[in-house]
Amino acid sequence: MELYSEDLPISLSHEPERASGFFIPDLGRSYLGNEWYGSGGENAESQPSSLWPEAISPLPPDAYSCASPFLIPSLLELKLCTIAREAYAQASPFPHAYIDKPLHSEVADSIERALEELDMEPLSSQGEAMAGARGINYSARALEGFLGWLASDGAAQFHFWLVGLQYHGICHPQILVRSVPPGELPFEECHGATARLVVFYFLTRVWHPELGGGLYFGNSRTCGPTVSVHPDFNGMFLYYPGGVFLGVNPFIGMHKAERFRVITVSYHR
Amino acid sequence: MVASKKVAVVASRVDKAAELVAKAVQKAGGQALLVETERVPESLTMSWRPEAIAFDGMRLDSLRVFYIKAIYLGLPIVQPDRLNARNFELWQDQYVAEQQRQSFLYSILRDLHRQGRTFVNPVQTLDLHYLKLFQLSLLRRHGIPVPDTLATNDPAQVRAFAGKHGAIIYKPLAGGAAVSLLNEGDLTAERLQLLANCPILFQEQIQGDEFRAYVLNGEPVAAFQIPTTGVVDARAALDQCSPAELPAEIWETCIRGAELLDLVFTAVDLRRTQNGLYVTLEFNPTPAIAFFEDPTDGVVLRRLADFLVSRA
Repeated sequence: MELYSEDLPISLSHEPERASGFFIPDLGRSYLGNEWYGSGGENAESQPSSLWPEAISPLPPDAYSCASPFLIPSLLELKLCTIAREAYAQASPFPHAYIDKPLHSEVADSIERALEELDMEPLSSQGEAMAGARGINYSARALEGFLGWLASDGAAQFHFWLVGLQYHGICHPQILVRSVPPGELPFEECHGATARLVVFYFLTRVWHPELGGGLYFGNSRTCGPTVSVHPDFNGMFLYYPGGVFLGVNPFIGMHKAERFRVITVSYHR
Repeated sequence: MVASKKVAVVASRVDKAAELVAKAVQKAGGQALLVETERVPESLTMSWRPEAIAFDGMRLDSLRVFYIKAIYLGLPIVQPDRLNARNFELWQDQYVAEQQRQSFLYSILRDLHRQGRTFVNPVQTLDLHYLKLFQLSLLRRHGIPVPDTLATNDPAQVRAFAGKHGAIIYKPLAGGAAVSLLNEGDLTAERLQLLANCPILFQEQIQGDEFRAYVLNGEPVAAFQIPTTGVVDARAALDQCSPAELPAEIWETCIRGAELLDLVFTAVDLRRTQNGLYVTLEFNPTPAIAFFEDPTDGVVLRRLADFLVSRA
């Protein structure tokens, strides 16, 4: 105990580093049960304990097999999932995570080529092309296959699993494909209060972040962007829109990219 | 010369409102001592012994007045397995919803009890699951024998306690794990540094068989004996329990303890030493019944049911 005085230092000295853990080694697991630590068993100790209370269990086999043609294997395993969940949970001021190179490189290249060849039908002055959830007759097979997967229940399961959200099978994915030449104005989009999770797949080859190219999240109650992301080619960004409460709207500085290509999936209640 | 009167100010050093109170205390001729509970256990030591409570090298129990401005406590503890039952995606939202739900239920149940309804047991006694030190202190002050106990995050205190007793057990302060026996390997610096992450309760080991005595509405109901040969935690030998008789003075002790703790119905865990002394380990506010007798027609169950119906 210290006496109150005017000289009491406000900041405390740095605490010495020490090992983490309980004196009773299994106290957390004993108290909460194995289900809060994942599947238990041999790999139980390697599973995260800091993700309380989101339990990590392996991706369901069906979802795994559907995703594996598109995504790198490590993204479907618990280790990378742990990192993504931690990043997502700890991100501020709203949950989000960026993952580099989620797609197999040949898949990303194929989709990029398909987007180049695709005759995008502009649906607005900003050059958007809307792709419905299912039944799009794209000539490019890679893109068609990828969009088919994105529209599937397995993809929803995967995206929710990756960031530790519960998936109840009641989400309605909306998929937006954009391939926009340089010079277009940046645009904003609002995913609204019903959106539970939004996922961007970036297939933009060259950005110019020094000129403002990138993905920005602005808050309607504050001035300027609250989060800035400068995604590389084949990058994935997931975020929780938080609807009107957080007032988080993304806008993309696409005019600073050489050609802007992004596929967005938003899951709604 | 008159010693300055000390006032404990429980708050963070950056709490401006607490600072104003501290300065006012000094202006009034007292000394304001900062008790930063938020720094326990990581950077301040705290040790509980029945006769002395040490906080950062000073005797907390020597102070006579405490001003609490900010202390982060919450009972009953939110159970994580309840969070998934809440209809929210994020655990943060689930947590808040669960807290609100608990406030809703807890207030209503406590209010009904205050209005004269019979509760077995009053909902606030469920806190005893988590407040083992509070229970031990209360029992000891009223002359009910309890094991010598140390709760601490201070390695030096553990070593001293180990030097005093032949055999020591340790367990969580708020339940959640089996009782373990302290060994030499637990006294290394590497092991003891972990106490700074989470304090633990240490007790002298009471050698002898364990007894469980059921008390209902101030009357003895039944007792059972659990042999402890080969086990540290008697719960590992429940399959060997059998009905037992207890001396009248032990029943009196159990009934007195139940009254002290506001427990209408309780099971008291006791150990009997080789000298025939009964030492109380714990009074349980929500005791299990089925492990000890016929789960559908045992005497404890029948007596409990009769009591409940009689109050309906």
